[in-house]
Order: sequence, then structure tokens, then C-alpha cells
Amino acid sequence: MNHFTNSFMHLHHIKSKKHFTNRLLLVATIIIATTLYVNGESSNYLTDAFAFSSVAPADRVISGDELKKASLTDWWEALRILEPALYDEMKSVYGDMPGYLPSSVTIRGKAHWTMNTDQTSLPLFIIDGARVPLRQMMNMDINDIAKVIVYKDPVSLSRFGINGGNGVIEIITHKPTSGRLKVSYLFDAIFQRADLSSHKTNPEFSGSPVNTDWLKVPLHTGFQNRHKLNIEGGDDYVKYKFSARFSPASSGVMKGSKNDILGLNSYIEYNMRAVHISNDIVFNQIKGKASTYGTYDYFRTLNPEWRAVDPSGIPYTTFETPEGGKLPNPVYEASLNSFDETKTYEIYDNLNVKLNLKNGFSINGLFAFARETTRHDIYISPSSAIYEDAETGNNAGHYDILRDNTLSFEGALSVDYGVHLGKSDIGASAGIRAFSGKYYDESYAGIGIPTDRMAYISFTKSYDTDQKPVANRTYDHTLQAIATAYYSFDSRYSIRGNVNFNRSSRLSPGKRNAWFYGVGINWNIHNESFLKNSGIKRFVLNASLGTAGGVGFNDDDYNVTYKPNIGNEYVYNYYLIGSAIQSMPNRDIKWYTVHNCNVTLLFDYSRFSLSFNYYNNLTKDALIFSRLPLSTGWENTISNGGEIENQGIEFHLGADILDNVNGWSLSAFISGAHNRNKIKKLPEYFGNLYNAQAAESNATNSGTYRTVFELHEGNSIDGDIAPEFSGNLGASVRYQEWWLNAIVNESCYRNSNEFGLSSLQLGYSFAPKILKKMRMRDLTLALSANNLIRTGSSDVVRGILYPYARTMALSLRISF
Amino acid sequence: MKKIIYLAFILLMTSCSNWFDVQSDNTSVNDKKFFEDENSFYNALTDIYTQLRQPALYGENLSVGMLEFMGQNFVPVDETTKAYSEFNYEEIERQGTLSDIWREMYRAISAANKLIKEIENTDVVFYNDGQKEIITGEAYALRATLHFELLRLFHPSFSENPNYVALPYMTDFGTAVGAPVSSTELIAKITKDLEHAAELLKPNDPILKGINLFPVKPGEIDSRLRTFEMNYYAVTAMMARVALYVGDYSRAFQYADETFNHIRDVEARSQVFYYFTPGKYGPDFSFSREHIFGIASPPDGLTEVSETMFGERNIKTRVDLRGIFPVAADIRYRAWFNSIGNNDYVMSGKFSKESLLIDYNKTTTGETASLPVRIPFIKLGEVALIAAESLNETDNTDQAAQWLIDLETSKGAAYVTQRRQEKELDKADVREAISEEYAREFWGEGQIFFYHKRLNHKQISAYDGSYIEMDNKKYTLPVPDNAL
Repeated sequence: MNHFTNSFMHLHHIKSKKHFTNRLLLVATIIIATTLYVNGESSNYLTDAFAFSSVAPADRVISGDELKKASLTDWWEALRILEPALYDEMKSVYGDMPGYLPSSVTIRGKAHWTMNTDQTSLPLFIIDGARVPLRQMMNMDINDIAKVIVYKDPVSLSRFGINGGNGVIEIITHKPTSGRLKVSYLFDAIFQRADLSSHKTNPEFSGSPVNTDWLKVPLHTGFQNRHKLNIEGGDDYVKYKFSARFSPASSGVMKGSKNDILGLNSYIEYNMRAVHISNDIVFNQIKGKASTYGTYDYFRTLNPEWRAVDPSGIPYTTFETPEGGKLPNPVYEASLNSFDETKTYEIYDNLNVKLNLKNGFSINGLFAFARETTRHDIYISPSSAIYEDAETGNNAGHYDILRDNTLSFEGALSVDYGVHLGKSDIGASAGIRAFSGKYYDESYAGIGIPTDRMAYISFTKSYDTDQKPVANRTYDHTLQAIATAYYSFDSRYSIRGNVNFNRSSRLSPGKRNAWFYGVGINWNIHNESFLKNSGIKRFVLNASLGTAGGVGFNDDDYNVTYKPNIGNEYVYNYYLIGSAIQSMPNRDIKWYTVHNCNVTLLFDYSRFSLSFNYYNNLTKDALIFSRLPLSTGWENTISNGGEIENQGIEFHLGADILDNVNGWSLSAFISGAHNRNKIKKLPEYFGNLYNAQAAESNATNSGTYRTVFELHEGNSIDGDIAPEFSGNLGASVRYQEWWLNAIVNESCYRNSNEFGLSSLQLGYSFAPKILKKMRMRDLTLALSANNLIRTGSSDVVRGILYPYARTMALSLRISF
Repeated sequence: MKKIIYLAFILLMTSCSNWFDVQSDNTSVNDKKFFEDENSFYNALTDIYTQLRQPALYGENLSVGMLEFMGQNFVPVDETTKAYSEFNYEEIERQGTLSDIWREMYRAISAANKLIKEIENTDVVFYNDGQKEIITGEAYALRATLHFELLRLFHPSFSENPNYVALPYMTDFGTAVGAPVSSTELIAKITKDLEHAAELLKPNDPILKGINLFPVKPGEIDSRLRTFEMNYYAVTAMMARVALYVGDYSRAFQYADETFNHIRDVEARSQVFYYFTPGKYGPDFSFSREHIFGIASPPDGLTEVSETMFGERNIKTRVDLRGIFPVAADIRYRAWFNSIGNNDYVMSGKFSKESLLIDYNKTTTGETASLPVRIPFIKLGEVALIAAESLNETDNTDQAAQWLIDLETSKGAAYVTQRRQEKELDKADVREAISEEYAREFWGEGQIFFYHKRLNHKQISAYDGSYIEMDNKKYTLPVPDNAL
């Protein structure tokens, strides 16, 4: 120890200029030292103080079995049904498009406004402790999920620091259990029919004779078949799991759209005394295709009087509008070779090492690697009607290649300690986490393709001169150091706190160190003497507060950046070009901080369990533009200054009404969430600027789904498009081998509401007796349906670019 | 085991100070990376010139647009142009015009400041001799010049009130704005920067040797294009303009005279600027060879503005155009104006599509293209008039008259020449002649307004032949809101 301290001091001295390092080391050493000098008896008591994984009372944990009651095939759909605090904003635009990737998801309301409409706003996605790219998260197979945790508790969120401002969703994967080799085969046949209940006939065309029902033209019954083979087993030392999944030749409800997945997964776990090592490696290949009919919104604009094909069955190229314009016939376009397809390869590896030391210490290490490459090809045939009138000459035909890559490494190490001292439980942990992500995309396009069949960029005549190649590279290097301490007295009172230091390349060098904290107190009232023997199983009151944050700006906002004035050369023809400063940067720009406050009540009595949350989350330092004196040469600069409040309640009441009474089991739940989003502080200058831009953007995008809402103090930031209240009600019935699950959802918006039968499942699980005869462990057959009924009082179209679907699935689960 | 963990921890902590400095790559590049290359300094400088040609500045408002209506050269046709003619600044600012001028001028200044800071602290070794000094000099010259231009707009006539305070003198790129300073202080700072610029440029600027026809390496300053940039003589001409503005006649003459050294020192075929002679200008109707510094304009720039103003909107010249140009032989009259009948004229020639810069033809991909007309910023004519006025005010009437004669001869006119034959000219006659020449020489260049303002004329003749009473309020553009 002494020798070590010396070398430490030495290093410390050398790097004394590095201010942040000092602070960090100080905090870390204090914590490690404190924990080292606690003289306590060794115990096997497992603390709840792990720096990187712990669940607080306000976090929502949904088990894999619960998820499957909402959907047998799609975990994201299941989570959307079960978690009322989650809102997937773009779902109503993209409907049930195969391979849909959410771009704006909020948990407990929107924490900040976006400065431009293309910016995505997503929670942090985590699988088994490591960050993963969005697509990887969405492609997770529901059958591999042990539980999903939606982090909402301020203390939990503070652990994620700079990445926690939009909420965090973690998937814990299913791990193999020791025992005899288990082989399972899972099969799903999924049928989808478009749900056009919100697509009312376009009043513009009422009265005209119907020759073509355009809304039905691009639709058919979607079908997917999914196969999965899972092999797992092992003993106390080694456990393993291999699985392969395959869903070929899928199709969505719009003709030509699909999302085929091939996935391989291998998990190996090794346990030897105090050492626990596990490695999970996943490979996915996804092939997606957009509908050859384009987007669905176009079909609403077509006059039913028009016929798609001539009497001999050949599609018309275009339609003439009454105004004399021409509209392409999507049926003709679909008959061409044009396509829009995406191929993605993903590799993901997660290595976990855990050492349980004798004296109450444990060391947890994690190393994760994620690589995702996506190639998106868009081909527009030269025969397309868009080239019919244009003076394109031999420039007809277009081939686009867009590449998108993600590469990330993540390493984390924590030292955890827990001890039981008389009536006290003490836990502490300290850890660091380093994340290195690289994201890059490139795109280029060629024009001038001789014939329809030559669908590759090699056949293009030249680059598209109107579309210069686009490329972006961004990096995220983030280091976090987290210290957690936990103290509990007599299992009645407990307090825990986190301190989280973040340093990130995404932050301005002027303000690169971000600190976050979280403190929670917990009172287990059921352990008080006055409630002993009262029959109350659990009665907990928990209050916590903490901070989390988000970046929202990029390095152009804090650096002076120059952009070549290509296309605006100074001396014409001499190619003397200038490079212009892009904006007045702000070196002092900082992250926005969300100050979360939460009170949770948990009450379990008899067959009922109730949880109730009240929260008040205030975002401070939201990004704004602030006015600059004109003498600086600039109108404004990015800065911090807005405040947004999200306030709400959540409840969940569960009841196990019958538990195997004469073969009957019955359970039910009801849950709901209400959120009120309010702009608390909106600097006037920024509000006017933002609203002027919003008006401009809405004018150019008028008639499309892309509406930018104005900001006004006291109003919500998203024009109340998120529901004010979301709730669900579910019931599960089991009679001997039969089971039935149903969930309904209700969402109330400001002027309308929506109701849906989200999930309905009927299953038959063979009895153990029969299974034994068949040498099986499990045989289950299920028929399930999602979103059979959707009704709403609103006349807003839902599923604008791609319709919603009613999904029916026939599922088979066999395991030996 | 613990040691390993500690060590790993410390290694991680200490080895990553640069790890956080990764920057994204897209269409722009941050200053640190950008200024690692010699050419980038030149690019940053070029951008400042490019900024000056926007319509808010010399592309329209400060050349053929607002300032010319204020100088009463054109007849207003709508609310906006009427507001210009009547010095109705409230109405002008309603459209943000004054704010735009203020902001965009200071934006160009801020870019110059950034460039000065970078180039003075750079470790980059410049491959081309003298290039670093030239770029630095031009940046200083631009900073001073643009401040002076702002001073001429937003401060009252120097002779009226040299202690007026409105403009800050900005020397840093950033969000901090210094306190505004008085005209006298501004002039001192402007003069200091111009002198520094001249010092840097004089030994290095290729213009001193004239056009060099060796091929230009990429990124090298092209001697043929020196009048598109703040060359050494543009700086001396500016110094003359500044000195005359404050009534320092000896220095004004000294700098004006020095500017003409180019013509005296450099053999004719290598001269970058010189007086055109009648009949030699070809399609170059703006007489661009007389520009000491002019701002390049793209084909859709100044010509497009001119086309709109005089082609589509038929904005007429002031009623007494023929009185200003009594002699039809004056090539300015012939090249710049066209009659649209009814004794009305439009200035459709000077900046028209047909008006091209000769000698700047460039052959790219087999096609030879001429440069479109550029925006005159400071030209020989003004320098000659500065010299004449300085001499005349210091009682060198004869010499002054000779400067005027040189100028008018190059225009095919003989106003002073004739008058001198008729009688011996006195100081007042020369003053009169200078005044007349100001009215002829700067059409569409925004200088006539500044001429009246500099001499603080209490009455000027309006576009319709009537007279306008002038005062400080009319001569001084109000400082826009949020300027400071």
C-alpha cells in the first residue's frame, strides 16, 4: 500500500496541471480509502450500491413474461403498451412500417426543445450495462429479454449523467440456467392487415365516381414467419446459450416493404469460486425495403375517378390534374425496377468480469464493443414519370448510396463494497466508465442510367451535379466517474447518494467537466413495529432528487468554424474562393441539466399491490439563442437559458385475484400516467426567433406531417401532441392449460382521445404430464392479436406515411 | 490485484487529456485545424471581400442603392427609395436596412480581427515570400477602412462635431463589445491601422512592381488581381481619403500623390491601374482600370441590381443630368446613360451586362469569359480630386487645376481646360470645378452623399431640381437598436 501510494503521488505530481484529473482522483481515492478503512465483519450481504447497476423504487421494471403478455413478437410495441409514461412521437407518422426506427421518444414528457427539426431526441439505450446503437436496441428479440428497466428515478438517472437527460431504457437479457441441455424452437407466423380507421375519404373527392379506391391500391396482407432455435445449458461452472433467428421473405402491409432479420447469438458464462466471467456476442443482418409504392400519404391526394391501368391492364404513366399538372401514377412507378433498400450488419460484444472478494468487496468490469454498418441504396428508374417532362436528356435515372456507420467501445470498472454492521447496512462503490463512439455517414449519387433494369450505380453516366457528396464524422469520447454510497438502518430507513463526474468531447472545452448528483431517502414503513403483523406486505415511502443532462449542441457551436464558399467564388472564373466563419460560437455553452424530483409510494396488501409516483422534473439551461450586440457582427449566439417543467403522476395497481383456485387463476392491472409539460422560462428574443423560424418551416412544409410548434411561456413545448393522460388496463386468466391475456389502452389528448384493444392473446400450454410423455419441457401454442381495435375521437390521420396495422400472430414454442 | 486496478485507473485518467479534443468533420472546419495551412489565411481574407459585395453593403445599399438616393442622383420610385431620398431613417430602419449595414460591416470587421489574431500568432511557415505580410496588411487595412466607412455613415460630419460618439472600434472577434469612441479617436485608430497596413504592404505588395505575367501557383497572390484586394495603393488612397475627411490637406495630398506613383514608377504595360483614355475602354463602361480597389461581383451581382433598377424599374437620373454633363463628348455621359425619351435618362450603361472588365479574360474549359463589372470602392478620380482639393485649399490653385485637367482629359472632356484658357482660375473657381467633378465622377458609387457631408453643405440640390435643407440629423444615420 505504501509503495503504491508513493507511485501514485509521483504520478499525481507529474500531472498536477491536469486540474480535472486531480479532482477526479481525489474523489476516487477518498471513496476507495473510506471503504478500505471500514473495519467490518465480512459478510455475504449483497449491497444495493453498485455504481453501474441498481434499481430505485421509481424505476419501472417489466419482466419478460409481462412484456410477452402485451406482444409475443415485438418488445418495443409491448413496452409502448405497458409503460404509459413512454411516448413514441413519430409512431403516428410512420405507423407500422417494417424496420421503423423511432426518432423522438420521451419518458415523462419532453425535457427540452430541439433547435432544428431533424434533430433526434431519444433516451439512452442500454443492453446489459452497455450503450448500444438504436437499431440494435430495436432489433432485440423479445424472447431474449429477461427484463426491461425504464429508469425514471432521479438517483438512477444521475448515474447516466450527461446521457440521462432524455431518460434511459435498459434491457437485461435472458441468461441460461444450469441444468440439462435445453433446446427450444420458437415459431411465429405473423399476419398484418392495414388499419385505415383514421383514414377518412378525402372530402375533396366526395361525389366523384369511384373507379379506383386509391387507399387500398398499395396494400395487401403482410406476412412474416420467424424461426428461432435456442440451445442452452451448463453446470455451476460453465453456462452457455446459442441461438439463431431467421425471418426470411417478410412483408409489411404496403406492397414491397419488408424487414428480414438473421440473428446469431452466443453467450458463455464461466464461474469459478469468486470469479465470474461472461461474454455475449451478437451478430445481426437486417435487410429492409421500403414499399415500391412510395409513401402512403400520396394515395390520399389521388382522385378516385382516375384509373390506375388502361383496359388492357397497362398502367398509365401519369394523371392529369384539373389544374393541368401531371401526377405520377404510383402503380406505374411500382411496376418499374426502382427500389429503396437498406442493409445493416451489426456486431455486438459484451464482456463482463466480476470478482467477489472475501471481505465484502466485489469488482465489476465491463467491456463492450458495438459496430453497425448500414448501406442504403435508392434507385429511381430512368423510366420514372418524374423524368417525363423534365429537360433531363440522358440524365434520367438516379442512384443514391448512403452509408451509415457506428463504432463504439465502452469500458467500465467498479469496486463495490457492502457490509452488515449490527443494525446497519453500509455499501459504497466507485467506478469509472469510458465510452468512445465514432459515427460517420457518407452519401453520393449518380445520374443518367440507360435502362430500367440497370439498377446499379455502375451504370450511371456521371455524379449527380445537383447533389454534392455529403459526409459527416462525429465522435463521442466520454468519461464518467461515479461514486455511490448507501446506508440503511434496521431495514427501516435508508439513504443513498450518487456523485457522477462527466467529461466529454461533446462539451465545450470551456465547460467540459459536468457534475451530477442524486440523493434518495427511503422509509420502509412496513418494517416499523407498529405495522408488524398488520398484514401489510410492503409499505414504502421514497423521495429522491437528482440531476441528469444532455448536450444538444455540437462542436460547431463552441468553435469558430470556417466553411469554404464553394459556389460563391470571389473573382469569377479565377476560382478565388473565401472561407467564411459560420457563426459566433459560445465557448461557455454548457449542457442542459434536468433536475428530477420524485416521490414514490409502494403499498402491497393482501392480493393488491399499488405503486404511486409524483414527479417534478425541471430542465434548466435549455439551449437558446441569445441576442448579441450587432457590433460583434452577429445577430445571436447559442447559449443556455430556457426552463421546461414536466410534472406528473403515475400509478400502477396490480391484483392477483385468484391463484389456482380450482384451476383458475386471474390477475389484473391498471396503470396510468399524466404529464403536464410547461415552458417555465423562455427568453423573449429566442421565443420570437424560434417562432419565426417555425412559421417559415411550416409554410414550406404546409400540408405535410412536419409541423413545428411555436414556443410560448406557460404552454407545452410540443403543441400538446403528447397525450395528457395515458393508461392501460389488463387482465390475465388461466384455466388449467388455457390462458387468455388482454390489454386495452386509452390516451387522452387535449381535444381528443384514443382507445384501443392493444393486445389479445389466447394460448394453450400443454400440461407437464403430457409433456413428460412427449419428452418435452414445454409446448405452447398461442394465437395473439395486437391493435385489433383502434378508435379515436380525433379526425387526425394516424399512420401518415405508412398505415397502422392490425397484427395477428400464431406462435409455437417447443422446448426439449 | 488492487494495485492493478489502481494503476489501470490512473493510466486511464492521465492518458486522455487529448482524448477529449476530437472534432467532428462535416462541411466546415474549426479554426485550429483551418489555420494550419498557408492558403487558409488567404481564404479567410478572400471571404471578407466576398462579404462586402452582398446587397446589404456594397452590392447595393452602399453603392448604387440607398446612398445614391441620399445623394439625390436618382429619382425615387417607391416608399423605400423615397425614404432614402428624404433621409427618413425611421422608415429605412423599419426594413432593418441600417441594422443590416451595421451588422454586416462589423461582421466583415470581426472576420478581419479573427484573421489578424490568427496570422500574428501562427506557427505556419509561409512558402510564398511576403504573403504573410500582405495578408496581415490587407486585414489591418480592411479593419480600418470599414470602420472609416461606418464613421462616414453613422457619425456627423467631422467638421461639424469631431467629438460625436457612436461607433466602437472593434479589434477582437468575440461577443464582447468595447465602448463607443469619438470621431477623433476613431480617426486616430483608423490612421494607425492604415499606417501599419502600409508598412506591411509596401515592401511586399507585387503591385509596386506592376503586373507580373508569370503563372501563379495555387494559393499565391496574383499580381493581376491586386485591385480586387486592398493593395498598397488602396491603402494610400484610403489614407488620403481619411486625411481629407479631417481637413489635413498636406497629408491628404501626400498620400494622394503617392498613389499616383504607380503610374509614374511602373512602365505602362505593367500598370495595374491607370487612366483610361477615351476610345480605349472598349466594353469596360465602368472604367475599371481606374479602380484602385474594386469589389468583384458575380454575374448575378451588381449587373443584376443595375438591370433591376434601370432596366425593369426605370429609375431615372436627377432632372439636371444634362446640366451636370454639358458636354456630350464626356465619355462618362456616353458610356453610362441612356435616354428614355422625354428628357429622362437612366444609368443603364455603367453596370450593365455589356459592361465588362477587359484584360481579365480567363479561358477555362476552352471558353473565354470576361469578368462582369465590379463595384468601385476607391478610384483614381477620387484620389485626383483629393489631390486637387488639398492643393487648392493650401493655395496651390494652378497645380490643383492641373490635376483636374488630367482627370477630365482622360474622360474626353475639357471643362477646366477651357475655363483656364478663358481666364486665370482662382480658388473659388477650382472649388467650383471640384464640386462639379464630384457630381460627374461617382455615379452609382455612393460618394456624392459623402462629399456633401464632408463639407457639411447646408443645402443640397435635390433630384427634382429643388433644394433640400441639410442638417446633422439628415447627414447622420441613427445607430440601430441593439448595436451595442
